[in-house]
Amino acid sequence: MAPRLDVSAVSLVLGVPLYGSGEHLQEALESLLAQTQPALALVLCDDGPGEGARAVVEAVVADDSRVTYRRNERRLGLVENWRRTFEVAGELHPEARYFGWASDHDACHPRWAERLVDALERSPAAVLAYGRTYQFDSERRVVHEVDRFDTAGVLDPQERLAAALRRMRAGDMVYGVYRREPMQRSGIIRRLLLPDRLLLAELSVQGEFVHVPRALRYRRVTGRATLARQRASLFRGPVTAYARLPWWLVHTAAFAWAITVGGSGAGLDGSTRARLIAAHARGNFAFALRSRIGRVIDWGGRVVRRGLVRTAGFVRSLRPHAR
Amino acid sequence: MGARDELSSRVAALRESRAYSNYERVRDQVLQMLDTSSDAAEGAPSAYWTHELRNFEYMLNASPLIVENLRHHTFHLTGVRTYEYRPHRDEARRRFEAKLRMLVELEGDALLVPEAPALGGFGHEIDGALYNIDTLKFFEVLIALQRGAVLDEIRAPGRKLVWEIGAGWGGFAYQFKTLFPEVTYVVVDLPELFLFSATYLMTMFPEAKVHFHGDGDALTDWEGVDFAFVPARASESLRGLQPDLALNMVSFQEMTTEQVDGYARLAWELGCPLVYSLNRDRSPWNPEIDSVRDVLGRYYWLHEVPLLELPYTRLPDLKTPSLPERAVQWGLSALGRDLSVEYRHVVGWRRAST
Repeated sequence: MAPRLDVSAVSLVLGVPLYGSGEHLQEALESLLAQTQPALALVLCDDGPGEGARAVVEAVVADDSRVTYRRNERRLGLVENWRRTFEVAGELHPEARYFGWASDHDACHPRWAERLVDALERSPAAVLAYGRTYQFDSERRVVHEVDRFDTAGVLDPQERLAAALRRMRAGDMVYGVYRREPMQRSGIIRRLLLPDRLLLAELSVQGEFVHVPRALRYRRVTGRATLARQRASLFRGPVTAYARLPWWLVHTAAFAWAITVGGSGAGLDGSTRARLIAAHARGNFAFALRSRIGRVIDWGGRVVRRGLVRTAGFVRSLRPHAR
Repeated sequence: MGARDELSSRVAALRESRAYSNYERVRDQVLQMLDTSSDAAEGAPSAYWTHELRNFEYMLNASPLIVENLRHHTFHLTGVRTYEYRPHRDEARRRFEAKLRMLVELEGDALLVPEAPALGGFGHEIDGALYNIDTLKFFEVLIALQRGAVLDEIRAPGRKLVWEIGAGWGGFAYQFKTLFPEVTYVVVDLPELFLFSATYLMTMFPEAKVHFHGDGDALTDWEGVDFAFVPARASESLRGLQPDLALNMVSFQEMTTEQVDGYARLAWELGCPLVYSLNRDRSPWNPEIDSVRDVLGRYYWLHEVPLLELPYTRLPDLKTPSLPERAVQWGLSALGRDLSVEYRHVVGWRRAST
């Protein structure tokens, strides 16, 4: 029998933005429904297209009262759908102190939510908790372990920001568990490229990141993460002009606005804000440069590898019994 | 006193030892289990194990001298022999030490349980303790269980039920029970293997309460038991229990597809939330199974917990590879290795439906 939910007691809401046919949704949902975290609710926002995801949700969720399913009337794009899950979560469970996004094609250990909430409870200064994350391929083989990184115990916001810009793996860490209020102050997630990176940069100013060293989350690798792919999936309709500008430049402007006018710099004096903006610009530019160099090296490696594989195939074809 | 008298008196003394009396009790139980074995294919050993069992039939009539050095005879199950650990093999010892350090770097040494010297325990001596390939393998498994958030379940309040399918000589059970004394450890195996595992564990844990299948009641009062030994053909007798963890190391790959499916299905039907497997997808020497991963995947969502680049069977090279050697290694890995024949630490989360 599906668990009954005491709405007033919910402490954590997981927002699950749905998009596509729901090929891996069964595994993702089963892993979320198996969470041991007692006061948990799920908000699923289906951004289409088609009825594939709805069919899987109906089959897996049945009458589980922890789950709310909403179908968007028109396609919102990924960023807007992420925001939507947060907003619906706030409407349904305004008392919940924690929020997390969960993907529709990844898998979480049954203790994932419980361990992360526990980590936040133990660290009042923490704004985000995340666990050890592995990326796996279609053969379910781990292809990469995401570097661990935290800022637990680091009191200086500028130091936290610098560490975050240098070491964060935003695409993995964004699927952690957050305190809701700092997220709200950071504008939930902003409508621009690499929005997870900007969110984490803003949050790093507001508090600490804690890491739980257990294999709590497995991320399915579905393709190379590129800016072109982000432009196509993050927004609805034609790509906006600012999404064509260099992302680090846009982030610098958005961060400066968030720290001065927005809520991310609340409680900080003017000079601290200025230092943070400068540190952010420096750190982000360095990251963009490193990424560009890394992509070139990566591309070279792939070319060499392809050459080796082709050479091996050619040598094999020369053997007398080869067909 | 002549050599003959000396031997007689030594054997007589060993016959009175706790280890030998444990062995005698285990042997009675094993013979009883073999008596009640049915001819049904279910629970019968695979072709691989039928051959292996013949090699240690002598264990059914072991002298006290054999029992005193029981660990020297477990090579039938592990292939690990004492002479590989003679003191003069200094390079091997250093390679062991290097591997041990690599493992300790992963999660510290809180889960490290060295080989016990009793019953002929052997290994390279490092920092005053004994280590062999099994010791390191089990340590590695414990690290994988720790990283895979499995041991957190065992540490949670309340007595836990752990079910090992194929426990070999009982080495992992010894380490696990040393670290987590409050668990009930159920071993399902071919009866003949209890001559090793049950004798070893009863001797290492003299106060432990032990239950043998067929020895009185079913395992209903499992919370009062430390170790339970159940023959493979009677694994259905576990119905009514709910293990917290089912694990298998290196023997699923030696079973038939039907046997692995039977165990995985049983674990799922018992409501066991987590399984752990250290196996190759297929053993090159066993044609009776297609893929361990595919069979387990019918009942559990499988997730790998990668630790070292080296499989547990290999030790690190002490010399740093030269640049050309590194280039060759990189080229070979770029061409792709056959990952299906490599050992992998896998934790399975129970599927909601099959």
